[in-house]
Amino acid sequence: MLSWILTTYVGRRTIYVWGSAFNTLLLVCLGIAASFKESNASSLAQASLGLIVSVLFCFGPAPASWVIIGETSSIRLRPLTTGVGRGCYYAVNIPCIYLASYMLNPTGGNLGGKCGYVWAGTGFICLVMAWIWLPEMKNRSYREIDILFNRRVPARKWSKTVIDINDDH
Amino acid sequence: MAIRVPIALQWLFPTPLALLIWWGPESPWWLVRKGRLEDAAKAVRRLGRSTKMESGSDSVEMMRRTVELEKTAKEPSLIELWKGTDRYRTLIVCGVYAAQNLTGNLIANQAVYFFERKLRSFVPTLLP
Repeated sequence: MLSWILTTYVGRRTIYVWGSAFNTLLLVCLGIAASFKESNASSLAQASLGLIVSVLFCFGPAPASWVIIGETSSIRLRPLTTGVGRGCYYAVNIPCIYLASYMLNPTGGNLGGKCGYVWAGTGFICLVMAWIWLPEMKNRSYREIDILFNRRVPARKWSKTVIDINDDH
Repeated sequence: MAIRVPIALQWLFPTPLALLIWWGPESPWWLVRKGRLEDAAKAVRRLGRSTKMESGSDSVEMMRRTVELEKTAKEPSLIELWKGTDRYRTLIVCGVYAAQNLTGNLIANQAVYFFERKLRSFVPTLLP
C-alpha cells in the first residue's frame, strides 16, 4: 500500500528501472552469501536477503508493472493486449517455477542460495530491456500516449517531449 | 485443521474488497463509450482528487476524444495487436508481464527453504 504513495510522486519508469536494479543487486548479494562456507551467519544472511528481495519487489517493480500493463496498450485493444500479456506471463511462469524448484533442490541442481546469481542474470536482462524500451507514461493522457507511440519517440525521451494541446498525431 | 487455517486466511483480503466493489464508482471510460457523459463526469469526480479535478468535464472531454480517435468500423482483432505501433505496445505489456517472473520474485516463494536451513543450523535435532 506504500506503493500507492510512491506511484503518485515518482514516475513508473523510474520506479521500475531503479527497483529492478536494486533487486538485481540484492540477488547478487544473495548469491555471494551462499558462496561462502555454510555457517550460521551465511544462512541468516540468505534468509533475510530473500525476504528483503520479496518485500522490495512488492514495493517497487510489482505495482509499477501493473500500472504499466494498464496504461501501455491502446484503449480499443486493451482487453486483448492484457489477455495476450497474461498468457505470456504463464508461458514464462510455469517453466520458471519448475526450474526454480529444480535449481534449489538438493536432488536437482542443488544450487541453494546461488540461485541468486541465476535470477540476478535474468533480472539484469529485464533491467536493460526496460531501460531501453519502457516509456514514462506518468502525467500523460491517453491521447498523448497514442501520439507519442505514433511518433516513435524513444522511451528515454518521453518525459522531455512536449505535446501541443491541439496536436492529433 | 492445521492446513485449513492458512488457506482460510487467504480470504481475509479479497472478501472486504469484493463487498466494497458494490459501492465503487463505475469506470468513466465505459460510461463515455456508452454515451453517458454526465455519469462519467460524476465518476471522474469521485475517483480523482478533489483539488485536482474541479469539474471532471475536462477529463471526460479528453476521454470522449480518445474514444473517437480510436474508434474504427472494425471490431478489434488479435491480429491487430501485432501491427504498427500496437506491436510495440503489446510487446511492452508481454515483457513486463514476463519480467514479473524473471526478476527474482520466485525466490520469495522459496523463503521457507531458507528459513528451514537457518533453523536447522540452530536446532539440528528438531527437524527431520
